[in-house]
This record gives sequence, structure tokens and C-alpha cells, in this order.
Amino acid sequence: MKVIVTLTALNEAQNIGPLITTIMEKGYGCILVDDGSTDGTPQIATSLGASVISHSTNLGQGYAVLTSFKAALKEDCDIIIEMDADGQHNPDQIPLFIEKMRETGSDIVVGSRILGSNYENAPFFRKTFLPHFTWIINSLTGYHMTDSMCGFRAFKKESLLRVGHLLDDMLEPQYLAAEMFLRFAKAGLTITDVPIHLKERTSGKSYKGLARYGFGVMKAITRVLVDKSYRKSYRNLRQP
Amino acid sequence: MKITPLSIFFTFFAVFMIFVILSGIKKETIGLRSALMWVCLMLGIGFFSLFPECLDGVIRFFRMKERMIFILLTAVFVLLALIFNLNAKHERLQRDLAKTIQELALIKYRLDKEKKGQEAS
Repeated sequence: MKVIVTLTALNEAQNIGPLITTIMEKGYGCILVDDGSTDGTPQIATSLGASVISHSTNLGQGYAVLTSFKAALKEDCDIIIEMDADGQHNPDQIPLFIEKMRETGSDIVVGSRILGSNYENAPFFRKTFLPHFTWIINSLTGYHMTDSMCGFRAFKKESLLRVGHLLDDMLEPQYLAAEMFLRFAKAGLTITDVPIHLKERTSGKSYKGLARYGFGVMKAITRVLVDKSYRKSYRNLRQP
Repeated sequence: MKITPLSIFFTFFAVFMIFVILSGIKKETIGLRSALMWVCLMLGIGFFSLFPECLDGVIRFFRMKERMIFILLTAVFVLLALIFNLNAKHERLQRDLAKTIQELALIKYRLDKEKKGQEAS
């Protein structure tokens, strides 16, 4: 089974090296979308053998994830793994996703920080708001996720190809997760989750402000729900 | 018709702005549709500053006491409409720009990959 790991990065020069080395050692393909870094992140990734796609300016993580999907869909692979490039997601856990996908036959496997062993140490805001966001998305989609906002996910390539045209229709790509799940649920894709253990960030900083992110997620959900193309069913979905 | 310094100022301003808009059309820096809208707006400003009594009927209809309040409210509504319009256009342009940057990045990636493939073979 061929696996491609997609990473999105903005100024992660300090974290990217060990992550890509581990991914390549395990025999996975690696695509890094650099979202306008100025600290040499793409050069480090290229020197380590990863395929690098560079946005000429910073567009936001959601757009970078969409670019990585579009690139990965053209590659020869069976599973596409999406990971954060800040080193918090552990590539050693990728086999768990593959195993879960094989066991359940799900189209998407989402990492769950809540089911993970170190969730007790999570920041206060994440502990408070994450279950609520997840509850909202579950209520709207019928999924039973425990962590809808985790950026460690696995997708079956053939399933992603089936809904590939939706990637161009995203209304709020900056807050991709919420919109993606709403649209994928409508398209009939199935999801399961797998517990993940989050590592501490060793250096750098997160660019996501929780209040702004939360507001953005709610805005994205509202926009999708009132969107005409979302409300009509996807009758003409492309066949795999 | 009652000429005051303010009405003279507004009339001159409107005439000046109409000239600016017309030169904008000549230099193709402004579209015909938006130019027409701005010329109409300026003509309205010029006309009502010279003949403010024409507004009295409308002011009585809305039961306002002052012409100034009516003019200010109208200006606020026109500006709000313009801001909304600009905001929608800005958002659309931003999304188009982001898509173009994405496409460019992907094209460059594919070309680099093809080049590497050719070099290897």
C-alpha cells in the first residue's frame, strides 16, 4: 500500500528536518506545501528529498492543505496522510491510521487528541471548546468523531478523487476542517477516528489564535449551510 | 434658489469630481458603469446644493425636521451600499488570487518534476 504524507508549513525550519527524515526513513512519500516561509523551510525539505510546492505568498493553512491534496491526488498512491509540520504529530503513529482504515473500510480516519493518552495536559481553551465544535459538526453531519479539528488525518485516495471537484468549491478554505466534513458527509464519505498522542512543540509558535479560529469555524459552517451547492444533493458525483 | 458659501463649495466640488471621472474614463482607469454611477451622484450633489428646497417634499414625507439630517442619512446609506459592494468584490478577488497562487505553485511543481524526470532519463 503506497502512502504519501502531506505537510503544510510556515516558518518551521527548526521542526521540519527531523519530521521529514522520519517520514522518509519509513518509506512514505512526502509532499511539503510551503505557505510563504522566510526561514529556509522549503530548502531544508528539498535537501532531505521531500517534494516541495511553494506558495509565493502566505495564504493560510487551509489553502495549503488544499494545494497538498491536489498535488497528492496526481501521485501514485493509495493513502494520503495529512499532518502538521510543527512536530506535534508523530509519524510513528501513521500505521495506526492505515490499520484502522483497513479494519473499518472508512474513507477517512481522523486522529483524536481527546482519545489520546495525554489529553489531560491539553491547554484549557482546547479542552473547553474542542468538544463543543466537534458536537456541532457531528450534529450536522451524523458523524461520531471525538475530535473534528485535528490536523492528523488519513484519506483513501480513491475516495478523495471521488469528491475532488469539491476541493475547488470550498467557500472558507482558511477553516477547512469544518467545511470539508460537512461537504464530505453530504457526499457519503465515512469517517472513523483513532487515538493519537500529541508531542510537545519543541520550537516555533502556532499561528492559530483560538478565538479567531473558533469564530472562523462558525462562519465557515454558516456559509456552507446557506450555500446553494451544499443544499442540493451531489447527484453528479464523479465516479472513482 | 439660495446661494450660500457651502452650496458654492459643493457645486464646485461636484463639477471638479465630474471632470475627474470623465478623465478617468478617457484614461480607462474607471469602468463605464461605475463612472455613470459616480457622475449621477455628483450631479445630485451639485443640483441639491443649488436647489435645496427641492428636498422639502421628501423631508416632509419622512417627517424630518432638517434637510441636513436627510442628506447625512442618505450619504450614510449610499456609503454602506458601496462598502458592502466593495467588500463582496474584495472577498471574491481574494479567493481568485488565492486560487491563482495555488495553481501557479502546482504548475511550477509539475514542471520541476518533469524536468527532473527528463534529466534522470
